[in-house]
Amino acid sequence: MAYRLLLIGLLAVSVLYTLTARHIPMDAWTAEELINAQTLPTVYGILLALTVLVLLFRTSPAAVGIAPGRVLRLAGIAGLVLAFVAAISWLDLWLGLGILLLVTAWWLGERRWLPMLSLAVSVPLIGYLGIEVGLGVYLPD
Amino acid sequence: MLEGIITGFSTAFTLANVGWVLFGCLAGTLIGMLPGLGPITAIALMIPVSYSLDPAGGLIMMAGVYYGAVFGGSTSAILINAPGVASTVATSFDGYPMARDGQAGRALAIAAYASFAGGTLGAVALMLFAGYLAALALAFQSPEYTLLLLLALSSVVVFASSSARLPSLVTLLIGLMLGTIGTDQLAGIPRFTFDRLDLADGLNFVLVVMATFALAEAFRMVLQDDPPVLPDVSAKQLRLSLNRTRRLAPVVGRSSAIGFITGVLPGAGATLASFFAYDVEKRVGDGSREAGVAAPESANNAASTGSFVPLLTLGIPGSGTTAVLLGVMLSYGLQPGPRLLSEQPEIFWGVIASMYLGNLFLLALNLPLIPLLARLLRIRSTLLIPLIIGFSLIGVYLTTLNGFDLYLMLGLALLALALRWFAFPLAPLLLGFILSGLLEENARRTLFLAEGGFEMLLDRPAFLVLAILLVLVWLVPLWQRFRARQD
Repeated sequence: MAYRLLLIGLLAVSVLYTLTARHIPMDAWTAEELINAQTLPTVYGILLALTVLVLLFRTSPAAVGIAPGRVLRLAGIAGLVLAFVAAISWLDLWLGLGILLLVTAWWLGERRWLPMLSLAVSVPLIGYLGIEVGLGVYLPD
Repeated sequence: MLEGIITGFSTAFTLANVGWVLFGCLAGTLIGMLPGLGPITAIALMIPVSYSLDPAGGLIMMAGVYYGAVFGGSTSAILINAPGVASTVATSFDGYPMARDGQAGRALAIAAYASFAGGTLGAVALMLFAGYLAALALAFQSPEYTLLLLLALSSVVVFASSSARLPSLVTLLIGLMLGTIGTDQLAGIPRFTFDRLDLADGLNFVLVVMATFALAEAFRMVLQDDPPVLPDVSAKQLRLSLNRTRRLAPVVGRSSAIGFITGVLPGAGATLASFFAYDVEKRVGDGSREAGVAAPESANNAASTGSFVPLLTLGIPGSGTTAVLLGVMLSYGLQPGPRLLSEQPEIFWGVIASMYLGNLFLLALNLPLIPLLARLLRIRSTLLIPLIIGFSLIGVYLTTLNGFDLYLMLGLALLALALRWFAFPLAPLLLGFILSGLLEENARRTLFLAEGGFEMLLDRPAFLVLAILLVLVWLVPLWQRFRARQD
């Protein structure tokens, strides 16, 4: 079922992509070219739709089952990544990274505080010293 | 030529220049290991250092940085499936599974030996054939490139197993589609940007590779049961037995030749070379994982050396990295091209001679580091997963400095996870993404050159040879079906 849903999703993407490709604005000169800005995207979109359609009519491959708890874990991690990205604009990048590492390790079931804190402190510190101080890469605030 | 070679060795083997090769290799390897920092970034970061050196010393150091960074990228590709640069993507296909099976030390050692052999063979070839190969490179123009790219894209689908062909085509097309996002290079028209400035330059390569390989891999580890703790890397894993060396020697020879020739062609570079070599090895070789690591590693190092041919002999940068190197040469007041060979032979041959030394240093530096690096895999998944997630997010953020790219990365990683869960191979996606822009640009240039009539293409021998090869490749599935029916 999940496999079919994935294929239907891909089919929808390919149709939307092809329709968008057909509406790429072009001037009169470009439009006359044999291969213009629309041509290859349209070919790719149609080919993907056709390939996915063929796969839809084939037998689904056997999928490995996933425990529901694991999906929840993954959803939590995706949420943490989103929170990290939202936070780096006002929180310092390295501080945000340290918090992300700490909370992700805890969320995954790690309860040993020493390795967790070592990871959360050492990686951002090495990153800061190596990249900002050592290589002189400028990071905007 | 012999006189030039002697001049080159006497320039490269001064104490100061030996020191700069060593420094360049070390700096390149360390920077190449960091996510998102490939050879271009490594060379760019070293430009201020090169200004304090004389032209020969500066260029020798830069060459060391270049192949050091190419090699460094393979370490993260093998250990955590995070190839920081496109040319090490093919290394991760077999290198990472080897690492997961407790053979990280062996995979890294094979990569080190293969890189050394590929780089050294490349340097020998560069010394012998530089002049002839420059002429060959000139014969390859847009029509030939278009076919070469179509050949590479077709091979990845056609030579997959019969059950994996359609899934490979799906991911290849997704990659090609992702490559069309951004401003159209020839007409300057925005495509699939939805009026967002963040998408105007297209998707960043590091973003796509980190999302589909590193972040998706971390997510897969979250969904699966914890893998068993891997044993320490013993010194035994770093030694190659005589049997193994005998088995891998032809692989390295073939792949170095493929790598060097591909590297000579402007625009093709180490990425295409590594994919080609990997693909060839899977078809004609024994198909072992060890060969799957040795082939792309020797090819990408030989290609890095080969890319110096158009740069030094014609003054044409064949890749982004050699374009930065061209800038460094121009800043020294050097004009690469045929006159460089006659007017400043010590620089031309000195850079080439330093490559022997650089490859030797790379091997000597990296072998002792392997047990230390492989220990990374013994970390529990509760700590390794956050490390990979943090590593990939920071790698992309440092490359683009754009938070929007991290949202895109998360979405792409979830798509890659879903595709991978149902056995869709992800390598074609990456190949399609990398080659999408090149294919479109060369196809459109071919039409400009043809000016509406295709007769001129028939006068190009290289084009005709590639066209025949392409047709033969497309016929392979039909031929296999025919054979299967007869059997």
